[in-house]
Amino acid sequence: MAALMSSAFNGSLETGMRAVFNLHAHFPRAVDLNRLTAMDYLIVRTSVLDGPADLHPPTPIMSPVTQVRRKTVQSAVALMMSRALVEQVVDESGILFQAGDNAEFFVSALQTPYLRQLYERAEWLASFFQDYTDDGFDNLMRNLLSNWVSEFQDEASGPA
Amino acid sequence: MTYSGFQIRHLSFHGSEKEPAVVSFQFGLNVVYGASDTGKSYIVEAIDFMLGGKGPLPDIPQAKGYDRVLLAIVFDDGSETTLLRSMAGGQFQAFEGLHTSIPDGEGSTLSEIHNERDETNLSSFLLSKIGLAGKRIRKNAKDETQALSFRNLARLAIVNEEEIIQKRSPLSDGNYTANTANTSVFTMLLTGIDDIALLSRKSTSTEEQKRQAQIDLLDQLITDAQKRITTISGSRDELSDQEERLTRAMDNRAEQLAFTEERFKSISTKRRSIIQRLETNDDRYTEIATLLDRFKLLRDHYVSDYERLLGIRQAGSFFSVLDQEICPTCGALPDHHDPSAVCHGDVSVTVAAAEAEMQKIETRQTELATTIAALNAEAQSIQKSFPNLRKSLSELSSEIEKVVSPDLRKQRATYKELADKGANVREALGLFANLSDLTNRKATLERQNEGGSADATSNNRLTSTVVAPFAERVQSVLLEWGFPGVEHVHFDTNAKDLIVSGKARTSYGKGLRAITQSAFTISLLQYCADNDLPHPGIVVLDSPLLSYREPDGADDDLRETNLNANFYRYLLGLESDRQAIIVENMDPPSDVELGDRVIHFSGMADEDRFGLFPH
Repeated sequence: MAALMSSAFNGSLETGMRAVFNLHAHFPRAVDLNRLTAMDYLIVRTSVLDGPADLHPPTPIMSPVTQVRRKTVQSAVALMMSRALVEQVVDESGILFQAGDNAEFFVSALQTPYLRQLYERAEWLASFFQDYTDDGFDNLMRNLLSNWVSEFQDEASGPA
Repeated sequence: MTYSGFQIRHLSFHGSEKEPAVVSFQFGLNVVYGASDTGKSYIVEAIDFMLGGKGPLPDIPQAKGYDRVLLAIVFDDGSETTLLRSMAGGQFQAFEGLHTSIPDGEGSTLSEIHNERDETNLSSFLLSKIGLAGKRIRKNAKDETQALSFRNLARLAIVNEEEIIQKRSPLSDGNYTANTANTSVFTMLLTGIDDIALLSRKSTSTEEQKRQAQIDLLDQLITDAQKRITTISGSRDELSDQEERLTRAMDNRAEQLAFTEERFKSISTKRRSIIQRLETNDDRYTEIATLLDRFKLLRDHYVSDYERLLGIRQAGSFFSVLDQEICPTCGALPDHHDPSAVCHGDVSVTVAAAEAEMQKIETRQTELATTIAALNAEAQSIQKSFPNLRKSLSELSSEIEKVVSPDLRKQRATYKELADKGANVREALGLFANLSDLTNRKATLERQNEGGSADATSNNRLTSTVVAPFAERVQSVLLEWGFPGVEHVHFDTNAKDLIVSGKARTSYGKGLRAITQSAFTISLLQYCADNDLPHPGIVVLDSPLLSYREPDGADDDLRETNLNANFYRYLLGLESDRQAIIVENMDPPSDVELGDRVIHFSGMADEDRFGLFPH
């Protein structure tokens, strides 16, 4: 059954949760799916931007910006939108997403130590990308990508 | 051995258009005297020639036109043979009977050279008639022998006018290399024993020589061995004792050595096992450290996953609290929306999954904790074991290095020393053994050589014992002739000549030399015949009474004495089985009755016979 096969990790709920934190920290700014997908990864790997310590321990991962993650983010966002945690905004640049009406309630309600740290990182990310244009963001991601490739190659060949 | 001498009956010379010149002889004394150049000496030369002398005969004018000679001989066994030879030399023809003219027919050929393998030669023929065929005489100091030839005897029976006055031993022919042979002939005549026994001595001398060469080699080896032995300290017995002692000491040491080696082996084995354990423990310790690192990482993972799941559960529960809006994906109202649709995702399922996951993690965390604790404990116990193991290791190592190893080395060195000494002693003993072996072999060979020479009985030498009776005979002959002042005659075996009254024969003048030579020759015939020893049976002397014609000074002059008469009288008394042919210049003394035994060559046309050859 589909339910048994799916893991709790990086499912729609967890990914959606991360998206809500990011969008909440960015409010009132709206971001597109690309940025959202990238930030879904970055929020738990803030050290690559010389930010706070990584929330997740290093694991051999596929490219941070894969189609799988993108799809997951997409589904997660749809799920969040059903509870008014995320609001879809359409403008001339495409589909953007913004924190929904219930986002404030949701974010302040989540208090486990892990979630508190998640919140801090979301805040830090938002402030980091505050002045980044779309081009600037893309450039950054491109640079990080090439580093990630070599990093993942090292990690992939290292001990589990 | 018996005496069987022969006698000459006729000597004749022949030429194709010449009247034969014949001279005949009888038993006992025959005298041919007369003027010079009548052929008297030629007779002596011819007789010698016809008895195998080399020739050719001297070329005297009277002999011109004559080319052949006949010699008629009567032998002791009664047989008669006439020998024919060309005056130029060469082979003989032998005819039966006594001839004074050339016989018809062929006659049997006799070679003029003696050949011990082929009897058809004159020498063998004559020797067999007188009983000396196949005899051998010693010819050199190496005891090598040669066959006796009639020529060896001819020179002791026929003495020409030069030989009769020669200042040398009657045994010598002037050729010193023949001295041994000539002396051997004389010895053989006196003893009747020839040197054929020396044959065996000759062949053994080759073997003797071989043995002697071996003996010489052994001597060298013995000297070498003795030299090497002088570098050895200690006698053979001392060395034997030493060898025994060394062997016993080595046996002792061998036991000790085995014990020490055993000890060494056991400690080494223990040490090795400790080292192995230390290594194993070290490896395990490192392995544990690596595992712990990985497990700690895993533990962190578990923790972080757990935290995440906690977050997800809380998020899920608060999410469920919120009212459902229209699904933006499919646009369905909450009531008409399938909660299990993928576009929504079933949050409660996720939360349930999270909880299940959390439980699993809890279990795993417990397990991990146990594992980590166990590993830590193991690491600790390993760590604890190290000091003890290291201590044991160092104790064993030090025991080996400080005690057992040096012990072992010392004992091995001592053992080796003993072994080396033993080897040296044995080598030295070997030298002794080698020396005694060489000495024994030398002694064996020496004994064989001595034995060989002891067997050579034939040592027929001219000793004073052998020659004494002969010298006595000469003495009695000279006494009978009235040789002046003769008291004692003896034969000097070194000079091989007579000593007459203390004076060497050769120191006399030539007249007395002639007399004494004649006495020698005649005494030899008499001695042999009287003692039944082989001899040709004749003597032919040219000018024995030279001192009456040409004395060598006053001492040599016998003209005042009666010697010549005594000489002839003595010879008149010869037995009938002996013959003497004397050729002289001087007339025989008138008071001696020679009768028909005398032939006079007058040298004058109408008186008696002119000479050998017709005028």
